[in-house]
Amino acid sequence: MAFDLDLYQNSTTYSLDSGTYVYGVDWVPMNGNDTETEVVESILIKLKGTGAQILAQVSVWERLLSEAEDYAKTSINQLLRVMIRARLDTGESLYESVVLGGWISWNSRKPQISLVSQFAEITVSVRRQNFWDAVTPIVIPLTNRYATRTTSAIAVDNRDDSTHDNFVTITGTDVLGSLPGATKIEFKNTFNDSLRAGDVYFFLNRRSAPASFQHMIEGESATSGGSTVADANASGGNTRTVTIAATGETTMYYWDLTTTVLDNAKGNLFRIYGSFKGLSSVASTWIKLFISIAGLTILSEGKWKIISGYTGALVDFGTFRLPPYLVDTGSVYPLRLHMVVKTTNSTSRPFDLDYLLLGSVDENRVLRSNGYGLGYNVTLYDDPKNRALYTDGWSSTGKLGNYIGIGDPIKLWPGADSKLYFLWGSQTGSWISKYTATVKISHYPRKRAL
Amino acid sequence: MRKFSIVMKDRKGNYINSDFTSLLQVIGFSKSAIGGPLWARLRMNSTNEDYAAELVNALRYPIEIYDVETGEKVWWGIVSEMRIPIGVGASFSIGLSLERLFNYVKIVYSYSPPGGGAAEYRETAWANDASSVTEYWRKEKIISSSASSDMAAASKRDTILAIGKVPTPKLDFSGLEFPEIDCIGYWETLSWVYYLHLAGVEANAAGGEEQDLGKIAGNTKIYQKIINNSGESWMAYNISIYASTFGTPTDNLIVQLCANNAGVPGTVLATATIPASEIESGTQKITKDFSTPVTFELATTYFLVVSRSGALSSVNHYKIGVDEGLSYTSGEMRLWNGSSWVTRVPDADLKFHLGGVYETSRQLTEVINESAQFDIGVEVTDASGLYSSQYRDGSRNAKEEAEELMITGTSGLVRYVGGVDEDLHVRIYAEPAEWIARSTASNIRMDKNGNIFGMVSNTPVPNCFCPVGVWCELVSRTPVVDAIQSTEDQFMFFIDSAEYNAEDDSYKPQPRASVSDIEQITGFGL
Repeated sequence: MAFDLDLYQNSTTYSLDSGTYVYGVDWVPMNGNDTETEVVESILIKLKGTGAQILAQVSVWERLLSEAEDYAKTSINQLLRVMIRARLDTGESLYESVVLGGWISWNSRKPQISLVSQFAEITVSVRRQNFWDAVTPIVIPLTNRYATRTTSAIAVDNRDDSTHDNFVTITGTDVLGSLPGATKIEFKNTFNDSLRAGDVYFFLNRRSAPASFQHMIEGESATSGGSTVADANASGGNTRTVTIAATGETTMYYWDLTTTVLDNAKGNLFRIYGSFKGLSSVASTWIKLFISIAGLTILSEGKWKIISGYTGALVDFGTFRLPPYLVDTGSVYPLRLHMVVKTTNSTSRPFDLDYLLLGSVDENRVLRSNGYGLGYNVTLYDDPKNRALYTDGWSSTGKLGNYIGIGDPIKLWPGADSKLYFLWGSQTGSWISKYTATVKISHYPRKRAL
Repeated sequence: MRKFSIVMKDRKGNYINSDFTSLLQVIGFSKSAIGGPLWARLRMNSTNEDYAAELVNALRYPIEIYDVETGEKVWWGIVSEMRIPIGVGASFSIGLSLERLFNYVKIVYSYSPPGGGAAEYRETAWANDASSVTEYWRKEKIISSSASSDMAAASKRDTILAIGKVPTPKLDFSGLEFPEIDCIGYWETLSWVYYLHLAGVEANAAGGEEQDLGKIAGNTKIYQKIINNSGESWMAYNISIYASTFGTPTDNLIVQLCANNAGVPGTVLATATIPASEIESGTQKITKDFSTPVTFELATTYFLVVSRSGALSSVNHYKIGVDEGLSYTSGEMRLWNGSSWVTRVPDADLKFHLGGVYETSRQLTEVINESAQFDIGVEVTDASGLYSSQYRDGSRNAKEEAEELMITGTSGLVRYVGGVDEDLHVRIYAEPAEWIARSTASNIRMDKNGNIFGMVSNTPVPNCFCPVGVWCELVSRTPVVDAIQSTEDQFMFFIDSAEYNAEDDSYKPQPRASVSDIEQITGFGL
């Protein structure tokens, strides 16, 4: 058994366990508990050489630890970031952990004052994050209607029906490590249009029967309310229109949530987004969703969302627990999901709903455009391990930091089958269900114990 | 510890794309049933001085707090104050705050005429700093001063503006280790502007002279021409004139609001009748409601006509207050001599006060619409059914005015609640009734450990949602709760405000304010 143990910075490896002046290393990896964010490794190193040589070697490591501490404070200059890299045996994957600082202490006399100056023993104390990430990411095989277990970029749609998928399926056994790990998502806008994509939403379903949970509710599938209108650009090929002129609170549509849907939801939380082809902007218009027993007892209701002056096509209706009671007991009584509008004047208000997306919040992330959006063939990179969120692939070369992330980056869970849903809006707010993209996902297996 | 995502924008509305927001850790926040988000406190979990320096610019930056687990926006407002250690191990920190910033300043003072004479109330014009307003929004301050001259008052105003237009630093020696920032909800910024609403009053309060009415043919009637110059149409609701009796008249004084008919009174639009029994021998202000309120259209000429219902009498008639100083500039007063309208000698204007009313729900809408600097929409969803004067003289700020109207409530005897929602719209509605509380899904139950659940679904609600403006039922069966329930049937209370402590993920609701609290909030006695 032979282990590797190095410090690493900016493409350069600084070995702790081998080299001209190292003739022995004694190291037992430390593991913090789950509440600790950092741990300290103590590495005993025996050195040989002239006093000057040993001091020079120690000085290199000390400089790295100092720069690591500086990086931990500033977190700006990636080139200063120092990692401790290790593997416990040849053939194992190499893992790394961000160094947050450290110090070196002499266990023997310093060489220049030692009578036997050719040898010295030191302890390198390395303060690091309380987990290890694989140095090399694993591209996760993705599956949907467009490909099976592909590690290339896979197509996804901004709608989901018999000819479109707005998700990718992830097989749990492809996700290695023992902890949920950093996941890099590359999302490329492949719809050739001058109108750029805007905000992008990721929802990971790993708790709610990801293989079978029905995450889309088509407008045209409403049990009641409105009339169906064909539109080739809509999810399911149709939208559902309704015009409201009555004052007060009026139900626009309702859908039956079947026992199967509710059983699969398993009592988890979902953010529900509506994708509207048309949304009344008349003043004094508010909409919301609620869940009822047969339209009688309201079990759960969202917040009123004002629509007056709203320019987007996507409406965030808030978080709902599904079913709202009897968490994961199975055989849940069917319920109803209602969309209601409230107005204070009788001006005619047209609505045209494409679909509702039930976004699992097991892991959820919003990448909000802070201007300029995501052009055709431009890729949005969400790369938490390298603390990077940017777009690239513009006609002018270079990375553009024009997105901000809300919520933690998506983490894939080892061993957990899951489904990642996608939803995105346009830069101007226009309805873009017809848009397409490609997705590629890389995962850095993460462990607490090497 | 529950995780939150912080989103900040700069003062131009651009998202802050900096790592320093990821270092901000939520300490806690609160919300109120009246106004929405109240305050939030965050700590920068780093001693990084570069980021601390970046933070210095963040005053009045919009800030949003998202619950990472659900993606829900749980708090929103602006950065109002920060305390930043000036370096690692420093013994003090520097604080910057919007609290003492003022970029619109006016002085009210008692003017003493040179050489003596009675002092008179005066106020300067507003002075402002446009750059400061652009950066920090309009923040007004009216200061009472002992200045006795126009020059001294203007000088004091300009000096205060020069000092107050930028955030002034203060030092804190409490040994703060990490930078902290305090935020306020958007509702609080309504207190930054005084609310002036001139519509609702057309008046001339000057003058102390009298004019006989109904004594002889030469003073059969009086008209005063008036024009609505307030900037908007409103409902004329009542009229005040100054009157006294001469002798013992027994008929009525009639005050009419008439349309314009080619420069003289035309169609009678509204009438107020004042019995002689309500008029005394000394001049007094008498106010009467019109039988039917009438729309007082913007920039339109009207006439107030005062007459008596009985016959002329030289021994029993009325005297009407007029102003020979001709202070009213929008129209003239004339006397009817039996055959034509003629100018009084000496000429005068009528002393009068035409008052208007709005439904208080409309007033509430207008207070917020006219004062909010963040707002892109306001909706009072339930009409109040109550009417009062919409006129405001600008002596109280918009938050005070709005909250008083909310607590006045509706004809259904309930307050208004609501405030700034997460889309920065203001939605205000009548406080929901207790009797429907148990069947309303948005209400909550709370157990003795402080965990909250949906009222109907009975499933957990994250504490960080910090619900306010809803009913809460305490469901734990303890002797204390039982004792209260025995008298109240159920331990149900309306949550007026609540605090969320992020450090222990706890939610602390407070029941509806007591009467004394309401008095304190609104500044008026009950």
